[in-house]
Amino acid sequence: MRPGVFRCLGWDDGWVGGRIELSVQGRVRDQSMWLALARAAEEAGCDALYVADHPGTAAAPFVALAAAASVTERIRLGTCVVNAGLWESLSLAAEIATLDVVSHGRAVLGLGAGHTPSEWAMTGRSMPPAAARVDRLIEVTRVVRDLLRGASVTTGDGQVELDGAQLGDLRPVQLPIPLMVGGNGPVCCGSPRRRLTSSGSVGWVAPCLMVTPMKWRGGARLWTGRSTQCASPRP
Amino acid sequence: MQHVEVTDDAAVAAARLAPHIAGATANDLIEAPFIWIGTRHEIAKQLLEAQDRWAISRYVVRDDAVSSALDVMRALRAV
Repeated sequence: MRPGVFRCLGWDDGWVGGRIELSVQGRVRDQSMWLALARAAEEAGCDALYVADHPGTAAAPFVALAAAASVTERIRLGTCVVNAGLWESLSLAAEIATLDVVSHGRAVLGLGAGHTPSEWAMTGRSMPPAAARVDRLIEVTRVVRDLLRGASVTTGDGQVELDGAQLGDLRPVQLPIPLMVGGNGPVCCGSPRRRLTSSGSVGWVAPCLMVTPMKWRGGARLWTGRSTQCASPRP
Repeated sequence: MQHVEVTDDAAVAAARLAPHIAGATANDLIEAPFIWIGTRHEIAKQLLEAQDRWAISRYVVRDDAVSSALDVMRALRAV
């Protein structure tokens, strides 16, 4: 991709229904391409630059996003998305808080339940069933948000074990850090997700359109709330 | 976006892609809001319909699709 293809577009001018925003998910291949992508995406007016989280397949997100932060000033920097089934909650909270500090308040925390069996298998585990992965996604999201707002967290529900965990002097710039949930189906997109977002500390939830065409077939049902959108197959 | 393809013949492009996605027909791919196939004007129209129908207003494209996506955004301004 050449930085020269970008132009400042100003695509926020006066459409019915409001602004449609474009973000970029990048792969980290080498330093010059990665930093050029970050600069170009910002120059083009993109809302955010995202990095996926697939250990064993591609570069890791937080170091890459911190590097992007150092060459940009405005664009949001986020994960799209981290696998909540593999991350330890305190480490994840510390990473995203640090990204928010070094980017001066531009971090976006994207979380998902995980879907790639090899990511568990490579560390001697089996990928849990979908329901257990979603339970963990919900619990990790709750706990990380509590840590980010400065709470001391003790919990032991079987999914997440913490005993007086806290971030100490590490305080994110954004309170709260925007949250994006990647998922599909009524569990991720329906009431549990609203529960995740209902306690007043989430800025916005980006659309989660990680619905496979196979599941999409036959129609779509969307849950749309205040500044939240989500697509899911019809139950 | 799982697939971005600016083309003058959406039907042909979707038919080419469909066999690679189990259970999906070419028409499914043209209608799905996470796949952009068509001319930039057709895709721009699809975005406006998705915004009206589902309030979808934010899209993420992979880096190799950025150039095409920016073309779509330019077309969107002209709708």
